Amino acid sequence: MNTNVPLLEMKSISKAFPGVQALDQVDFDLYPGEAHVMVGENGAGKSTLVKILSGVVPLTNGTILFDGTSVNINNPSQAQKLGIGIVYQETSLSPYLTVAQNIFLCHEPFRMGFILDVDKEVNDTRELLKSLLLDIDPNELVANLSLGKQQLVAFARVLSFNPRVVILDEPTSSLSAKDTELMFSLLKELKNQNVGIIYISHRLEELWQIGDRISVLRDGKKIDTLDVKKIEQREIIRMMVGRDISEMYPKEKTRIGEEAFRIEDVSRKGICKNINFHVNKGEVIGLFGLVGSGRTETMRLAFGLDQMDTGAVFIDGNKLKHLSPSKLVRKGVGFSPEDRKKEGLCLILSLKENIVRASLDKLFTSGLVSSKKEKRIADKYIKDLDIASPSSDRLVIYLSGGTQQKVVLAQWLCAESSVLILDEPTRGIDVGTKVEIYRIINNLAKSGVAIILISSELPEIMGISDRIYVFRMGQISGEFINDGVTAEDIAAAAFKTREGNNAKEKIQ
Amino acid sequence: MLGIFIAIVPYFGTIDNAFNIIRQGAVLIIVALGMMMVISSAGIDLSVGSLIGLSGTLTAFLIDKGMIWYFALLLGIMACSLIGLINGLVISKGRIFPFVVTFGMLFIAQSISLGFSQGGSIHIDSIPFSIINYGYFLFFPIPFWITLGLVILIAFLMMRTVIGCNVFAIGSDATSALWMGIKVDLYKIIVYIISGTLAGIAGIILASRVRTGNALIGQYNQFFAIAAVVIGGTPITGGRGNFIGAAIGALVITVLQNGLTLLGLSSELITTIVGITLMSGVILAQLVSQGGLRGNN
Repeated sequence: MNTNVPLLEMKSISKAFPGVQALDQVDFDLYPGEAHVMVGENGAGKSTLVKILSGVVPLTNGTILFDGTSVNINNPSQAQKLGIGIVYQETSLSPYLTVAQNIFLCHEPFRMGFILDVDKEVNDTRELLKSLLLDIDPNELVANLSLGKQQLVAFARVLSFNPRVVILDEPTSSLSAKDTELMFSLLKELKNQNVGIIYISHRLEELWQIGDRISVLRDGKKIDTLDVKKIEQREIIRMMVGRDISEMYPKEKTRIGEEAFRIEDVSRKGICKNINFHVNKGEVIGLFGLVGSGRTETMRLAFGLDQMDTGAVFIDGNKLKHLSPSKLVRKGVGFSPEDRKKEGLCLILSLKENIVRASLDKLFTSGLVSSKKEKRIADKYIKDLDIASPSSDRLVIYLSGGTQQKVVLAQWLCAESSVLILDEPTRGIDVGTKVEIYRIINNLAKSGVAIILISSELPEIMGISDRIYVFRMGQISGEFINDGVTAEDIAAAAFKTREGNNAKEKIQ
Repeated sequence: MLGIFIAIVPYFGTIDNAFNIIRQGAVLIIVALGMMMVISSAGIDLSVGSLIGLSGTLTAFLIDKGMIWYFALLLGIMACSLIGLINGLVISKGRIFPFVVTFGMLFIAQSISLGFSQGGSIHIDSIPFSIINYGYFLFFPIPFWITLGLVILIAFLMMRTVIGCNVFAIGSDATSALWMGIKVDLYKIIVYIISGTLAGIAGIILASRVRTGNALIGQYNQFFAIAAVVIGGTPITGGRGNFIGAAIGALVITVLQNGLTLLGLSSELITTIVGITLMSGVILAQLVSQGGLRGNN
C-alpha cells in the first residue's frame, strides 16, 4: 500500500432528500491499493454515498477530491471518465444483449467511426474474461446466465474501463462460494495494481478477507473509521446498531391471549423454506432480517398475494383452504405493505375513500356508498390517530409519509382487522411520527389485535416486539423472546457470523 | 395459411397477386420496422397511422402547387421525421408517457393533413410518382426493393451500430441504462425520428398506389403495426426487438387480409377474422416468449 495522497477524498458530504437527511457531514477517503469496507444497517446511507460517487445523485453539500483535485460528478459517464467503476447490488446489465455487448456498452470499438467492430468486441471480451479466469461465452445472452455469473460479468464490465477506483455494493450476495473466492482473488490482484476498492457488504466475515480499513455508517452519519485488524465483529455490530432506544419505544405490557394466526411449513422455491411461526392475540412479533431474507416474501405468500409451493395458514386455529387476499381480509387480516405509496394507498383518491377502502362490503351492505357515512367514519379516525390533514377530502398524495402511514393503519382499523401485518411501517418517517405509530401499535395490541411487524431496524424490532423471529436467506435462523436478548444476538443470527459460516460450509 | 389460401382461392397463388401482396405489405412492413424499434425501447408510437396520411397529403399538395414530384415527396417524408423528432423531444425531455404524446400527435398530424387537403383528398397527376408503386425493377415491383432496402438498413442500424444495443438497454431498464452512462434521451429521440420517417416513406408508397393524398388513409395502421411487432416476437414491454419477426408479422397480416378479400367475404367479416387472428397471434407470441400468459417476471 503506498500512502500519502488519497486517491479519493470525500469531505463533509451531506445529502438531504425531502424529509430525510440521508447523509450528514460524512468524511470518507480511499488510498491507492487499499480496500476500504463500508458497513451499516439498511438505510444508513451507504447506497446514497455510492450514488453520489457514480453521479446518479447530486450532493447537497461537501466536496469530492480525486487525486487531490476537486471534482464535480454530475452524471455516470463523468464518473466513468474519472476512472470510477461501480458494480451495483442488483446487476444493471441489459438482459437481452450478449455478454460482449454489455461489456462494451458505451465504449464500443468502431470501424470507420460508426460501424460496430463486432469481431473485436467479441475477441476483446473473450480475452478479458480469460484474464479474469471466467468461463463465460462472450456471445451468450446475459438473460441466460445465473445471477452470480451476471454479477461477475458486471464486474468484468467495470474492469474493461481500466478503473482507478472500484466500488462494489454487496457483490457477493448472489455469488456461490467458489465465485466469491474468485472475486476476492481478482480484488487482491486489483489492489496490487494500486486500484482503490470501496467494498460494501452485509457479510461481516468477508471484511477480514478483503478489507484494510472499515467505516461504519449509521443514520447517515459516519460513526468511525478503523483498521480492520484491530476490530472485532461484535464491536462492529454494536457500532452499526447501538443507540439509546429505551424512551423511543414506550412498550407497555399487554395481556397475551390465544393463538390468532399461524403459518406452518410455508415454502416456495427460491423464496423461503419451511417457515413456521405464530402470533397470539395482543402480541407483537417482530420479523427481523436483511432486505431479501424472505420476510416480506413469506408474508405475501401467507396473504395469498403469491402462490406458495407447500404450507398452510391458520386463523384462530382453523386451517384456511385456498388463500386469497380478499379471503384473508374477510377473515380479519390486514396487510400494510412496505411500499405504501404503490401498494398501500390509492394516492389520487381522498383520505376518506382510502380509509373505507378495505371495508366497503361491511360498511355499505346495500352496495351503495354513502358519502356522508364515509366522511363520518373518516373523521373518527382522523381524530383517533391524530392524522394531520385539513379535511377528509384531501387527496392522499398531498400528505406526508408519516401521515400516509397513519391512513394505511386507519384503513385496517376501519376493517376491524384482528391480525395486522405491518411491513416496514416507519420507513422514511421522522422520529416524532415514528413514536406515534409505535403508540398506535401498542394500543392495538392492548385491544387484542395480533401484530406481525416486519422491520429492518433492529432497535424498532427490539423496542416493540414481544417475540422476535430472525430470517436469513429464506429461512428462520433464530427465535427470541424479547426479554434480556441483546442486539448482538439478533444481529448475529441475521448477518452470517464467521463461526456460522464455517459451520455451514462444513455441512455442504 | 398460405397453403389454405392457395388451395381454395384460385387467384391467390398467381404471380400477379403475389406482387399485389408485396405492394400492400410494403406499407405495413415499413411502419412495423419503426414500431419495432420504438417498442423495443419500451415506448409506443400511435402517431404513425396519421403520419402515413400526412406524407401523402403534403406530397400531393406540393405537387398540386407545381413542385417537382421528388422534391415534394422528400418534403413529405421530412415532415414526418420532424414530427418524430417532436414526439421524441416531448417524451424524453418532458418525461411524458409515449402513449400520451403519440396519441395526441395522432390527432395533431391528422388535422394538419386535413388542413392541406381541405377536408377532402388531393388527386396526384404525376405519372413518375405513381411508378413508385406500380413500376418494376429487376422483375420485382419497386415497393419490394424499397422495403428490402429499409429492412437491410434497420438491420444494419440495430446490429452494426450502437443504436441497437443502446435501445435494448434503455428498453429493458432506462434507469440502469442511465447508470451505465448511456445517453438515454438521445436514443429515445432517434428512435421516434426513425419511426416517423419510416411512416412517411410508407405514406408515399400508399399515396402512389391510390394516386391521391388522403389524410385518413393510414388510419388503424399503427395498431396493425403493433400487432405485427408483437406477433413477430418483440415483447410489448421492451428490451428486445426482432425486426425480421416484425416484417414477417406484417406480411402475415397482409396475406390474411388479401386472401380473405379474394375469398369474397364481406368486409365486416374480414375485419372480425383479422381481429380474432391478431388476438390469438399476440397471445401465442406472448406464451412463447414468456412461458406463461401472465409472465413470471
